[in-house]
Amino acid sequence: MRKDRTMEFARGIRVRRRGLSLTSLIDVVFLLVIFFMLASKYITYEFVQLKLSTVQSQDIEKSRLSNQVVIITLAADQKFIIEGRYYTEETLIAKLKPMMHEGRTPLSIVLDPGKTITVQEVMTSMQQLKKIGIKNISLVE
Amino acid sequence: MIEIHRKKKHINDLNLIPLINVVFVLLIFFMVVGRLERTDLLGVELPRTHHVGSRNAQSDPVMVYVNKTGRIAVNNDFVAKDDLLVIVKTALLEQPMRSVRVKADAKLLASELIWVIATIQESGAQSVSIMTRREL
Repeated sequence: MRKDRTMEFARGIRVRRRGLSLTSLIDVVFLLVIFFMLASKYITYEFVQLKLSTVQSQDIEKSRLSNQVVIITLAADQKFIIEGRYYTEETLIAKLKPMMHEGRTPLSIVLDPGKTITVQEVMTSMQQLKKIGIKNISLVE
Repeated sequence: MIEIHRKKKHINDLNLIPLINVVFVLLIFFMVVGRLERTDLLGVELPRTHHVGSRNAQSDPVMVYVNKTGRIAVNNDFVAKDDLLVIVKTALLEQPMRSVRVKADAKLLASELIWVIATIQESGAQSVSIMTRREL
């Protein structure tokens, strides 16, 4: 048998190869696809720098330390308290917008989350304040 | 008999190259777009935000996890509240410029988060950031 093949090669006759089996390759690649589909996360993260303010609790009652520093106490249901008065998102924006252009220094907001407000509510409030252009936001320590 | 033989021949002749091409493209897509991450011990559900912070992350930060009940872990090791200061301080000893990233649960009380941040700042961390999940 071997002798015949050698003779065929010697004579220059092409021996037809069997086609390469791709089934095992596909198996492995499918496994990899399934692994990456299930193990990977497709979430985009944001990194928020939180500044802690050195405002003392007695200052919170005054609510407005100066023209350009406002202390906002966060209340439940996305309500805000400034100087004892409740504000919704719309009324707060209406109050803060004119103040943003009053002084030379940019308006600073100090948020007081109290004891019952969650991290999500603080983040939502910060989002609302950043939306109107306030950049200096800190939290009461 | 002849028909069976023909069918067999037809199956053997199936061209698998386009299938392999598509599967390879899918593989590359999932490898590039996805991110493999270590699962955290506490199962923290991140708060959702939209354009509050930046998307630039510093590499190799000290990770601090806080779940909704206030339980704390540092780099996937549970930590008692009283030990947080010492452990973060130790982690920052070798690389003082290393940033600290806090992964806090959305339902955690903000007062607890403030305490954690104050403790981290007290340990000498130069940069402390909160991780949130970006809403599309």
